[in-house]
Order: sequence, then C-alpha cells, then structure tokens
Amino acid sequence: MPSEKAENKGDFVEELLDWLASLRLTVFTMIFLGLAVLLGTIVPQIDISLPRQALAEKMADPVWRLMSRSGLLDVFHSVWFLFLVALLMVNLAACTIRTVRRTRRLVAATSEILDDETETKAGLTTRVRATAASLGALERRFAAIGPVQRTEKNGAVHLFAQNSPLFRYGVVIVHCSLLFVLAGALVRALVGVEGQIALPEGGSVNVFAAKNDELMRLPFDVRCEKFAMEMYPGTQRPKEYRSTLSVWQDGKKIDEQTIRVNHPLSVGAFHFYQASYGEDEFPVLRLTGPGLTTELPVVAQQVQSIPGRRDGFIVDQARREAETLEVHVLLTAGGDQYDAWLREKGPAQNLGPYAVSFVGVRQGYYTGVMVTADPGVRLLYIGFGVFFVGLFLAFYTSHKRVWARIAGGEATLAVSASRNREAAKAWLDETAAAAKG
Amino acid sequence: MGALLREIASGLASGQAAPTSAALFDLSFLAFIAATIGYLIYLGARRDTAWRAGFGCGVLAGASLTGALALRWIAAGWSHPPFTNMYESLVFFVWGIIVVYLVVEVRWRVKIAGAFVLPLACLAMGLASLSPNKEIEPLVPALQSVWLHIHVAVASIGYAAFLTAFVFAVLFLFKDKVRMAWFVAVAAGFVMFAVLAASRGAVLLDGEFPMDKTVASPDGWMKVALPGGAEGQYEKTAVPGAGPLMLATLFLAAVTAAAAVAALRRPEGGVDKFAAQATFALFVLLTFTGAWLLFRAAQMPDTRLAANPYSLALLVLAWLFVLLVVVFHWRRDELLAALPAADALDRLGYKAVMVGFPLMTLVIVTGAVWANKAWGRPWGWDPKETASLVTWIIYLLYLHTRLTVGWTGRRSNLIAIVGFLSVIFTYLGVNLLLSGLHAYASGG
Repeated sequence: MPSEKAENKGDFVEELLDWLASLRLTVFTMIFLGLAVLLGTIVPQIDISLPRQALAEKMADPVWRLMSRSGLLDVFHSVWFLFLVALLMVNLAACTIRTVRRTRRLVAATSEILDDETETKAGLTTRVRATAASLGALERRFAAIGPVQRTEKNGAVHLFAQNSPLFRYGVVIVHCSLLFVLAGALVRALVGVEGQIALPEGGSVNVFAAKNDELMRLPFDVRCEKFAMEMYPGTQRPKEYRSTLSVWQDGKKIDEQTIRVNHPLSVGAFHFYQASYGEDEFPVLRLTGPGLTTELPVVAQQVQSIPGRRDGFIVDQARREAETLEVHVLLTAGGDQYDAWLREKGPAQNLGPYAVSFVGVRQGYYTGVMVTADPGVRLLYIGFGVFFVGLFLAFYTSHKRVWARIAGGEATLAVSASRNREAAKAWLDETAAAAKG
Repeated sequence: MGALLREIASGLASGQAAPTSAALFDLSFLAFIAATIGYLIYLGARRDTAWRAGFGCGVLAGASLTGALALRWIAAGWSHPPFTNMYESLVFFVWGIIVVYLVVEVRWRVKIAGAFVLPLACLAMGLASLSPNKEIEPLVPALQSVWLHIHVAVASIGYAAFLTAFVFAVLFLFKDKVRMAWFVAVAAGFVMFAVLAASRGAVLLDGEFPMDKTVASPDGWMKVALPGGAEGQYEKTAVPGAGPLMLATLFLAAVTAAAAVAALRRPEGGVDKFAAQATFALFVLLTFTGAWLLFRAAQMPDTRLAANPYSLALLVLAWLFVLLVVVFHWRRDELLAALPAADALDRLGYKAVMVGFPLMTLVIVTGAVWANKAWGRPWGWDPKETASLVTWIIYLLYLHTRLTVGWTGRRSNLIAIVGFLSVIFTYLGVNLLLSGLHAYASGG
C-alpha cells in the first residue's frame, strides 16, 4: 500500500522536524554553548602565535596534551563547539520552516467573506447600525489598509482588505538573519585563516604562519616600503603608526597603500591589518639566483620567502665566532633543503640554486601586520542587515486583516492583527464611528 | 548659581569651549540634584508643583548636559567625541538616562518613575565629578574610528533604556505585591557580589579592601596603574580599617539573604519582618562603611577615588538597591497607591526593552564591524564581547517568551531584572574582574 507508506514517511519527517524545532533542543544547545563559553572565558586559551617549538614542549606534558586534544585550550575552534553551533543552526532552521509553513497556511486560509467562523476567530468585532452611506465610508476606511474585495452572498455585502502578509514574517526574517550570522561564524572557523607577520622596512613576504604554525602561501608578495610612527607631542602616547605596503605579482607592482589601525589593505581574499610595531636588529641577506638579485632584512625565527618564488628560508640561529657574527640559514628550494652558517660580510655560499651572503645587521623598526582571509564575514554582514529589517517588521508593523458584513441595516466589523491589539482596537472603534455616519 | 551662570555666559561670549563645558556640567549636576529632590517630594507628597519643578529641573539638567558634551566635542575636534575615557563615558551614560527618561515621561505619562531613575543619574554624575582627569585625552590609534561614535553613543542610550525597563520591572513586582523577602534576598545578594567584586575577592581572601593607586606616568598623564608585573596585577593599596568593615557588611548581607530565603519557605509573617529589619541594619552598616571608605581614601595621598570607578559604582549601586528595599518596606502603602496599575507598568517595561534591544543589537553589530576593521576579526570572545552577548540573549529570552509563549507579569519582569544585572556586569563587572580589550575605558 504505497499511499500509506508515503504517509508514514511524511509522519516521520514531520516528527523529525518537530524534534529538531523543539524548544527542548534549543534549551539543551544553549545550555551547552553557555558552558562552553564559560570554559573558554575561564580557562586561559592558547595563543595562536605560539611557536611550534614551544607548543611541542608543552605537548610533552600528558595533562596539557589531554586538554589540548579535547579542545579545552581552544574552545571556540573545537569540533564540539562548532557542532553545537551547527546544532543551533539546525534547530533555528527547523523552527523557521515550521513557522513559515504555519503562517502560510494561516494566510492562505483567510476567508474573504465574514462568516460566523471568521467572526469568532478574528478576535475583535463590533456591530453598528448601517445607513445608506455606511458602505461607502467603510470602503474608504478599508482602502487605507489595502485593496478592497467586495463579495455579495445571500443578500449580504462582504468587504475584505488586508495589508501585506509580509508583516507577519518579521520574526522569521530575524531567525534567518541569525542563521546567516551563525553560518558566517562557522565558515570563519572552518575555512578562515589568520596569522601575524613581522616586516622590517624593505622586507618582503609571500608566506605566513597561520594557526598551529601551518604555513599559508599568498598568491603575491607583500613588501614593507616604509614604516612611520607618531607620538602626541610631549607624551609617550602613540598617535598613529602606519606602514606603506606594496603588492607584487610576476615581478610587477600591482598595488601600494598605506595601512593604519582601522584602515586595512585588502588584496583579493586577503586583508592586512596594522596590528603592532617594534624595534629590533635584522640580519640583511643578499640572495642571487637565476633571474634574481635581492637584499632582504629578515626577522629571526620567522619563515621568509624569496620574492616571486615558492622557495623559502629561515634564519634560526645566530652565534659569535671570533668577534664575527654568524647566522644559520635553512633554505628550501624545489623541495630540497639546504643549510649553512654565514659570516657577517663573509663570502656568499651556494644554497641550492641561490648564492646567499650575510651583508650586515640593520637596526630599525618592523611593522606587525595581521593577515586574514575570511569568507564568512560577508555572511555575517548580510545577517546584520537582514536582522534589522526583520526586527523592524516584527516590532513596528502588524499584518492587519479587516472584514465587514452589511445585511439588514446592520454592519458587522471584524479585525485581526498579528500584533499591537490596542492599535487594532482603536482602528475598529474609529471605523465603527465612520460607518454610523 | 549666579556665578556659574556668569561663567557660562562669559565663556560663551569669549568662545572658550572647554571651561564653559565644565561650568555647564556643574550646572547640570545641580539641576539633577534639584530634579531628584522634586521627584522625591512628588513621590512622598504627590504635589503636582513638586513634579513640575522636578520635571523642569530635569529638562534643564538634560539641556545643560547636552551643551556641556557638545562644547567638549567642539573643544576636542570632530574626530574625538566626548566619550573616550571613564569620565566622559559616565557623563554620556547620564545623558542617555535623562534623554530616555524625559522621552518616556512625556510619551507615556509616568511621573513617578523619575523618583527612581533620577537618583541613579545623580549617582553617575557624582562619580564622574570625582574624576581627577577631566582633561580631554588624545585618542590611541584603535579608537580613531567613526565606529567609536556610533558604538558608544548607541551603548549609552541602549543601557539607559534597559535601566528604565529595570525600574519599571521592579515597580511592577512591587505593585504586584511580590513578597518583600524576594527583594531583600536579591538586594542582599547584590551587596555580597558588589563587595566581593569591588575588592576583587580581597575582602574574603586577605581581610582587606584594596583600591587601585593612581600614579603619575612619565609623560605627566594621571592614570590608573596599568597591569605591571608578570602576573598582570594592578598596583593597589589597602584602605585602613575598610577591610573589617567590608567583611562585616559581607557577613550581615549573607545573614540578611539567608533570613530572606528562610522567610520565603514559610508563610508570610514574622520572619519577613526579621528580614526587613536585617535589611535596615545592612543599610546602616553599608552607609557607614561607604562613608568610611570615601573618608579614608580621600586622606590617602596616592589613592584617588576616581581611579576605582567600577568598584565605587558597584558599591553605590548596591547601596541604592538596599535603600530601595528599605523605602519599599517602610512606605509600602503610600507607594502602592501612588504607582500606576500593574499591567501598565508591565507594558511600559516591555516598551523600554523594545527600544533597548535593537540598540543593544546595534552595539554588538557596530562592535563587530569595528573590531573587524581594527583587529581583523569581528568576534574574539573577549570578556566584554561575551558579556554583551549574554545580556543580549537574556533580553532575547524576555522578548521571545513574551511574543511566543505569552509570558507577562512576574516571570517576564524577573527576566528584565536579570537582564539589567547583566548590563551592570557588562558595563562595570567585566572591567573589574576580567582583563580584556576594553581596558582603555577604565583610565582615570
């Protein structure tokens, strides 16, 4: 019996929808989310800029490892936190679907004539004595609400008007906006990247260390042309710090902009924020390779890239040997690793396809730049916009339906409003007065 | 008064914005006190003359405060609106309170709420006037954004709307004849929280009541000692004698709360009376302790009251809560007669939340957009962000239960009260107890 089967299946879907839309699920999810947020606020969370080495040392401690594995040290990115967010989204979505269906049914079932059933359901009704002028007066009042539909049935004249049923969907739209916001958060947590880079003046980079020291590659090189800072006169309060960054692709400069706090640079999907600054000493290396000669000031312990190439290196150690400074360079080119100790002002050494020499040490500022790529932020902003539209509809508009029946010298009026009953009552009283003439 | 007006007139004539602003602030403070007295007399004697005087002074207070803020803004330049440190933030909060209150009173015709809202405005004005550093401070780079204007302005008005909703909710519960023991329990509980939070637990842990020191920074700016040592501790110093007094207050508050809870388990009667008497004792002790604290701290050379705005605000708020309960108990019948009907109060509270909720949402939204511009992330679970989200969810619950389940009356108003406690925690508690990115709002 196929029809019964289909019905059963329908029941199952309905039941599942009911369960997913249930208030119990909302409360359950919210309580657990609350606990998670509490944990994330109380337990000190792991610093994303923690170097891999420090991380490895800490991981040796079994308690720390357990806490880290269970996500306690990074609650807001842990699998179970994201699962709870997703569960809340499903709950919200199911609830929204149910509300939409119920509202559509209610709007579709609206009768255009004022029969007894409609009169009982409307909630607000009144009766007045009708005169010859009543019909015209009522039609004018109704037209102010919406298009008037006039039906004649069993010797009675029925009038019906309603304003936009959209006014009933305010709460639904608010729910949808929250879905956008939560989706934005999920997208950010799942595919968004962020990392910090330190760039001395003249430094250039096309990789950065994201979360867990994972290397992310930029499809272009970013070079710090200039860094400047300003204090308020006579104080130690920073007024402004700014970095001029240029963007290079295939050996050509495609963009140059000055970033400040609150004024980031966007290149494609990537955004660069002025985050911090500092002063330090930087070894300057000269690299010569096929079709390339460049001098780069480098930040120790930070992965460096060779401009325009996919090769990279890191200066990981420094030592003084007989009054001369030496740095240890680890270079990766074409999948192979090379390393060497370079002496200050000493001869160049061949590291794979590159000849590298240590030119000297330069003292100066570096700019701390935060790099992010977050496709979720658009969803978030859409959600914000939609939220206020929905809230406006939910708070300040009301879906009004009005009916009138004129028969035997008597006019019966009925109003149904999705919110603000007092205003609807006032309208009804005014209309009754108008109908009396 | 005359001298003040002359000062304002001459300041305006000579085009000096900053001193005129300060004089207007003083005028506004006086008007607030006068308005509070007017409304209190109206509450007690129900004379329309008193209300008219109170309302007039309220309008004057609002107008002169608007002038003071506008001139301060002019003095600092357009990029620098007058709400970038604790002093300015408090003054702006008061501005939000008076604007929201006047609108509420004119639109919804509830004269009596002024007697409850205006003392809170006076308290905030008093705290602001204690501030040693009323100079206009230059902005650090993160604050140099157009979002600062919107974010803080909206927060002030939104919090003021929630404050109004809170007052209506408390009045509703009172009018609805909720047992006094409930009020006692909540007020005593709040006193315990305030004493512990204001001392950051030191009352219980060390038997002392420490306050943050003000130190002169090398560049001459007076500021609160910033987290210094490796542990990130504030530099603080114990106020002599305040520790035992605070401990006694804490103990008495605990006894009062316990008495109230015990009373609630029995039918109304003698136990309630004991709880009420305990509240009165608590009020006396709290008043004495507070006076002692103010007196002693003022004598200590390196401690300024204004370096501890959050601690003081919490304590004075606790004092006001207890005072409210005392007034409720001793003037019960008069107050019950003076208040509008319970369902009218219920609706007024709802309307105030309907104003506050969109604004609170806007606070979070502008905060997220700004954070994304300045720090590259719209949301970072900073304690202030988390607390504001919790506040938002509580009011969401309030609206949701009203709109879908049809909750009104006691349960609904209870949520509004919890919501406002969360607002207090967001505005004051977070900065006291947790460190975070909003620390620049705490500078003295």
